[in-house]
Amino acid sequence: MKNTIKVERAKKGLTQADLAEMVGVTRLTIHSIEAGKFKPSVLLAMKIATCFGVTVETLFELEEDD
Amino acid sequence: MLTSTSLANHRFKLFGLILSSLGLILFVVLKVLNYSYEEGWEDRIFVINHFIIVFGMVMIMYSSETKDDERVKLIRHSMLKFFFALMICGIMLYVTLTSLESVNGSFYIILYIIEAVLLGYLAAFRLSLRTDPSWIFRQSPANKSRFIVMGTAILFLLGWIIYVVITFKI
Repeated sequence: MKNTIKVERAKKGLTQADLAEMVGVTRLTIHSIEAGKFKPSVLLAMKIATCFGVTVETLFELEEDD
Repeated sequence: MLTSTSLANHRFKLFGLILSSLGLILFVVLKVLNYSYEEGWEDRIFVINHFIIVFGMVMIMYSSETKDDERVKLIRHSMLKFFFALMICGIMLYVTLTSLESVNGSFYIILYIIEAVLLGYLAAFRLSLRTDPSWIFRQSPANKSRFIVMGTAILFLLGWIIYVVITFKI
């Protein structure tokens, strides 16, 4: 699953730690999601999308092997 | 999966660490000093000592992290599954080996297996929180790991049955 969290974060000028604090997870969790290693739950994906003011579909994109 | 409510507060980790360390220090000191005051004292003291160490490690194991999010829960769940299977296999292997005449059974070895697995779990869990091992986050690891654990258990059982049949000519 691809995501544009890094891009959205850069647009808003947020660090991984800032975003982690906003959605109530650890910085390493944000790092793992950005790297595409960890697939977040629907709830966490929606929280992150809400932080950036975008939809979940904009932020996350399915790949062939998903 | 273990929820945060089924785990102790993260502060319990410190108590667990103190308890385990005290048990370990006491164990080493008694061994080094070769202290003795009455017949059979070693067994009583050392068994209690091992239980203190195990209890402390279990306390650390079942304490939540400061921020216990879904990634931490997933890592904990996967690690617990793996190390629980490892502990069962280790104890089963040892019990099977003790049925051979050349290996003497000892309760301490079982305690050492439990302690080694708990220590391995704690180290692997800490390391996994930092390194994000990919096998934990794979989409369908459950079926594969379940098959490996079940397969190993069935192999052990079959081996043991064959051994018993051959040895006792049932």
